[in-house]
Amino acid sequence: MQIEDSFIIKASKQDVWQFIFDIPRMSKCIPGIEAVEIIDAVTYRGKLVVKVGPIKSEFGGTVLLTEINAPDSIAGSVDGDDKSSASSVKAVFRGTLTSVEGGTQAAFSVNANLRGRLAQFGGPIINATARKLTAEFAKNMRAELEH
Amino acid sequence: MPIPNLIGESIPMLDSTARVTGTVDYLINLRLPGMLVGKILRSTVPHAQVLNVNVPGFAGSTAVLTGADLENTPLYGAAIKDQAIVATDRVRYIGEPVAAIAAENLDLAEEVASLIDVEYNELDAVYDPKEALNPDTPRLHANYPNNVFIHSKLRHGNMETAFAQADEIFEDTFTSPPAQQASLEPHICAAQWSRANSKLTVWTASQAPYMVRRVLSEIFAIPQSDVRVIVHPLGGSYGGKGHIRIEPMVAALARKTDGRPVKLVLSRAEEFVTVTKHAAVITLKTGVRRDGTFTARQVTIHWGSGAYADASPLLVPQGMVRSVGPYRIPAVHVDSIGVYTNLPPAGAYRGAMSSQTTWAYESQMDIIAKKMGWDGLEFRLKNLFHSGEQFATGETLHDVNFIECLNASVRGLGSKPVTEAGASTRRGRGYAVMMKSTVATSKSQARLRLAVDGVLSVFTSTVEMGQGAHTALAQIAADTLGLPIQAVRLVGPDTDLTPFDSTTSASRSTNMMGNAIIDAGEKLKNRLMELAAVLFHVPANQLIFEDGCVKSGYVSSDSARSRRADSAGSITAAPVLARGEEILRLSGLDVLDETGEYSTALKMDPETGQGVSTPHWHQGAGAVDVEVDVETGRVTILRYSAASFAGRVVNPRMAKLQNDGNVIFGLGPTLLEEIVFDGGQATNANLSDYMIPSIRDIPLELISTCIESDAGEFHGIGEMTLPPVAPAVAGAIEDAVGVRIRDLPITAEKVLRALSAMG
Repeated sequence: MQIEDSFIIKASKQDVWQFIFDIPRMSKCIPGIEAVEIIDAVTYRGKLVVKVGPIKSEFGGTVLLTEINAPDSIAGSVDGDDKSSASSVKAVFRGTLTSVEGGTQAAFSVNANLRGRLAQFGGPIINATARKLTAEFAKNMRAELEH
Repeated sequence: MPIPNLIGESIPMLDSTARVTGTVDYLINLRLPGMLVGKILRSTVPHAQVLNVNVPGFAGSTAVLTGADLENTPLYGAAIKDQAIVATDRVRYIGEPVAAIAAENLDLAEEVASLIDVEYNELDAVYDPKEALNPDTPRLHANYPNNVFIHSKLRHGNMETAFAQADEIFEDTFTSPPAQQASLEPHICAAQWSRANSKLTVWTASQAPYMVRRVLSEIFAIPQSDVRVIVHPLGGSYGGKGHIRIEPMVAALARKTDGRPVKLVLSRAEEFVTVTKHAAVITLKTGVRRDGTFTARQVTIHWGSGAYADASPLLVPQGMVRSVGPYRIPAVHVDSIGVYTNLPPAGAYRGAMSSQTTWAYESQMDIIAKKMGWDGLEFRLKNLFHSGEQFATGETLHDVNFIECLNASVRGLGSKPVTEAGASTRRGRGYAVMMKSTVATSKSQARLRLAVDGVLSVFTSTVEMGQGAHTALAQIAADTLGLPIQAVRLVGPDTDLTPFDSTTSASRSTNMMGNAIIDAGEKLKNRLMELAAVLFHVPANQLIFEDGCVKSGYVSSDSARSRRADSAGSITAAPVLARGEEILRLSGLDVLDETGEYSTALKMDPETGQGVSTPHWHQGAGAVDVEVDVETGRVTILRYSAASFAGRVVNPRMAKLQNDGNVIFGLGPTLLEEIVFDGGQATNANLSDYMIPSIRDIPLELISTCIESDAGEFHGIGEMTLPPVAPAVAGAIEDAVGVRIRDLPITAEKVLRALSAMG
């Protein structure tokens, strides 16, 4: 499953980049993130609670950053599972920051393999959920960065 | 009072009132004392070694079945034993059972499932049947290199010579995706062991109670007599409950509950990973002469069969016979190949294998006709088989009526619709014919019991799944004994009570079980006449049995025990001696039982496919008028006319319902249905994203014809008008707008893309 989205923040590229790597601060902006543990400079472990359709899931998993090009782009992988909904996710992602008029455009693409009970709801519902989460993340991030 | 002949009467289905008032005794309503609820933990990875299944400690009545419980339990399968009851060391598709949980209620079972930790070591996976053949792709089962577990061959004639005689050679590939049987009732099974785990009772929604009994007895190493399989009326099946699926898992789980029964009801999403319609890639190479005759046909089919062979080793050889088509072709080679992939197992799907193969050979008929400048209907009529001709298996065809079926379906449509000037829609017409074998070797037994109260009980293991089989069988039983339908009761299936039947599938029951009932009925009548002979001091050969009574009188020949004729040949009324039940009473009997049997045992050479493939041929045809919106690609079915060969119709109203139901069912895979897999995960495993035909998709007009013949043999008609639907609709679309779709389903998007590509 391919998910792509982007949003614009009224802040400089450098500020956005710094914010992204301020893990405690950034992770507060991700809706549903309940815990983040920094393992090393490129490995993070976390817990994400997300509701898809009628199913509430609690994903535990690891994020591994495989490419860091400050302040332009990052890439990495996510590996997680949720036992209560018997679902798992494996994904690779890439994020880019581009200076645009009035701020920075944050764009990302995710190639995800979602498996198990959550996946049965089909692309349209998963995509809609992803868009909703992205929109909330963008809103929270703006609240942090746009003064 | 003579009883009217019941064969050919449109009596209502015996359970029609129960069906519309919601009082059918479906298995989902089964409640047993102390019953636990089952729940399955399924694999979330498409292919992996299972390193560890960690089950937390729990208290109380909860039981968990994992691979660790199965060390001494053999693998099982309908034909090839390649499947563990739950995964032991490996999982091969997303959705494969890894553990089964029994608990007091579903919430508790789900809670326990969420606490089980499974550790996988993921392996590469393969999903496409042709890619799976590549030596570099992962091998699913050690014994099957290239993932091929069956390769059925038909070899008839010299292909080189035959293709050399052709003026034109056509080579076309058609595909049919995995789809869902989608019966309203899901798979349901309950199981209970006796306290010492020595005797097993299983209640299951299955089409094949005796196959379930045999396989369970093999798995648990107990005599078949110690396994009892009870089947309630099914809420549809369409092949999906045709072999053995969840029963071993539920029985193995119930073995851990100290005698308490366990019931498992699958969710809709689980249905999508339990059994599917085979994905198929079909290539046809066909040689034709300019005079409109065939020289040769070479068929290559790869059946995407999923991770386990399941019913495929039984179905792939049938797919071979069913891929040739009902046409005179002197030289035919077929390679029908079953391939493992990392997807859920495939099984029978209404019109099994013919639903895919007819799509291919009838689509190619249109392609050939168009290229050669022939009329598609004339081209078919010129080449369709007649009785007495030889099929590619070498067998001589008998009682084939393809031309009658095709003509009847076209006649049913009437005049061709005209495209309205200025409209964004175009109208077109298409046709298709299909030829399908039934089960070559199978057996049906029936027991008839006449009781002193006048009730005739029919003990049968034929499964009523909404198709009306029990009604048709009751009619045949009543007719044989000359009793009113109200005197007949159907009993079963219950393997402790009802005698053997191979399966309720392949549209075989009206024919096979019908004949077993007639056999039992004739024996019962003879027994009653023998008893009457003693009671009334009349030689048995001077008695006849009709209208439920033994009658006496002059019999024109020693052997005639049916109807008595006087010298002028007219029927005269014979004096009644006694009704059947009176004979029982006078003889001091409560009941009189007789068992009848009907079986076929046909053989083909496994290397050449030569021999006899079927006791009789299933024959159907369809003609359709469609409207295509060139702006949206949307296809509307205006009128569909279907014809099937029924031999002798038992119940005209139910026969029409089968013909119509096939067409409606067939429109799903034609226009809408495909299970979409993404990395092995079904992403539309629900009935909102996976669309089956609704009332709005049903043709505005449905016309149905059943063809009968003088030979008068009962034929099943549960599938005959389904396989022609997809190619007939594709032909009508091409007739309307000039585009040819080769990959099912024919979605509006595909039509629109093809229209854009055409410019």
